[in-house]
Amino acid sequence: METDPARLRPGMHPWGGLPMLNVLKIYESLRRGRIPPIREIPEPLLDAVATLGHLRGRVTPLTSLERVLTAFRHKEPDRVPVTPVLCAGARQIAGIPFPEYAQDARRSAEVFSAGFEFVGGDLVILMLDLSVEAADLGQKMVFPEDSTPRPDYTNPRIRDVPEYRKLGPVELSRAPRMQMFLELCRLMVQRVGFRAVVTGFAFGPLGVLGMMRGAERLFKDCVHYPAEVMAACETVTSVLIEFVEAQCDTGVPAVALDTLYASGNGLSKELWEKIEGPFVRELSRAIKRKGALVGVHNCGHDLYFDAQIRTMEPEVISFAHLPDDCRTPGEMKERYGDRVTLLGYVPTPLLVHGTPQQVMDACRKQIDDLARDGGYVLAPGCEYPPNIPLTNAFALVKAAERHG
Amino acid sequence: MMRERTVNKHQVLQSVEEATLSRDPERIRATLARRTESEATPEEALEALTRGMERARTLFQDRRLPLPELLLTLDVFREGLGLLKPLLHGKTRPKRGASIVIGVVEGDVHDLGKNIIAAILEMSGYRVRDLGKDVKRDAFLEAVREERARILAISSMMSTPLDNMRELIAWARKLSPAMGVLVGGAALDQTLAVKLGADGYAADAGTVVGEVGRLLGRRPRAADARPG
Repeated sequence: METDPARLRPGMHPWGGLPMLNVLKIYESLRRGRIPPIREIPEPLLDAVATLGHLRGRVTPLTSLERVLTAFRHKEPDRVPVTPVLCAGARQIAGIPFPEYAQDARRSAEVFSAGFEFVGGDLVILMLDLSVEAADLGQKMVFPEDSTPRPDYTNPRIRDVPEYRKLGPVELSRAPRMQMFLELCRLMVQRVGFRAVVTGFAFGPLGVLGMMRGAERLFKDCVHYPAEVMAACETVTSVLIEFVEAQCDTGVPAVALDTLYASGNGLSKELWEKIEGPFVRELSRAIKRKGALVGVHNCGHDLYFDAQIRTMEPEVISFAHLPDDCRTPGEMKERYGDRVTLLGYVPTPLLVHGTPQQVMDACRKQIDDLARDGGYVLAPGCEYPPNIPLTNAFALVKAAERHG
Repeated sequence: MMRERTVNKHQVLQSVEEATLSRDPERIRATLARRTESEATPEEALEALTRGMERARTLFQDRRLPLPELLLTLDVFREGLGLLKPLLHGKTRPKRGASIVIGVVEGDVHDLGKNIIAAILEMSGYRVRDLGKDVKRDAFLEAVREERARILAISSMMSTPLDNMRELIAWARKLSPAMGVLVGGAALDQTLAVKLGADGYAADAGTVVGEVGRLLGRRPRAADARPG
């Protein structure tokens, strides 16, 4: 009986759970200046590296890569890893307008590089906008001068329920926005090298459909016409699987899946597991088959950690609010801290109005609550607000250095 | 016979309330059609419809009703309201004597939260003028003038249009100094609301009615109550 490699823990042999080292793949990645596919490395070896990082971190600073890997293996590094999730906000450094940032891979890479070089951080999360996939599936877009791209909701791709089944897939090679994002991944992997962990990103199938139908109508359709919505999810997922696999091929060692509607801002837990669950499970397996780590991003309220872990078995969850079954950060750490790495969750409104000292105080509180025993990355709950000064991005990074 | 008709009236009103929660527009149409067979007046039917919607709102606030179901209940409520309005001859529900202009600020097209808030305020008896999403400053100001609005309720899910929101609030203040300005949306919190110049902040559908009541009652402004 064949075993699905995606269901195996990192580095376990498909025949019998024996440690396996795919030397060729790892060598090839290293030769090309990329972080090797982490799931190709046997777990005992990863744990040994993390333990070494934990011990060495007590006496000398770790590299970002060591720090992140140590934290991901749930061991305490020299300090808490940090990412300001500085995406479009770094346009301010590079002086690049929104439309260029969103449509030109080289300009976009300049923005992300500027954010990384200027502000810093241990992870670079390549989140361009939430319309990349929908645009290539036929949704008309608007590219404002002062904001991220968005669907033209006066012209939705899915106008009525029968159109869910009419939605056709798109060839990845003919998908300009996804191709642009892949080029961005390639450029950033090259530029960052081993200095930090660069992650890819894809919106989950329901999110993509929301961009083409409008969230309100989609939610109602999920209740009244689940079969139609799921048919469209299947089409979108076939495209997304190719997309995330291609991201992994660019050398990103992790891909984040955005599952916004697995929260109180979306569907009930049961309905989400029924409608989107099977498809994000497939996406997660596709990423894992490539040897990459799976991250989940969800900035909704009362998000469903349990359902998302059941379906995607992610290594990391990025969040902005507490999960629906936890009342305090301590309870969240207790319940989930040994199962996933928590990435978050400095409130973005605080980044808008807070002083750097207030931001650092909030970071310190979160570090105190969540950093124990590793498995934590300090970050905003969502993308750093694109149009505000970058002072608080520096404060976030500084907080990790000072209090982490 | 009289007793039978009274029982029937209560049954019909109870059915209207339950039909609102059923999320089935057909059922509310059928139930309201049966009203004429009873002594239930259109005003009483409207009260029953509103009670059903209020129950849905409470269930949502307590996390016992998911968002899609709330949206479907709102559709049923609107359907019922549409059927009853012609029968009310202008005697709609007891008004709270206040008109509210609501919309999503220019630069943002996320209107799901705003739609829920608008419906809940309407259900609560306010006269609501919903301007939609991505609304320009001048359209807001014109509506405020026309409606003699006592509350301007504006939202943004994104942080990018916050400057537009700040500017709109400043202009609205000049136009109508006594009007209360309420803000909401994922990009905001209480402190940011104050810094933008708003009088109140509604975190969600559960708090908006209370916050509007507070503003209309001329209780302390958010800015006075909570130092920023």
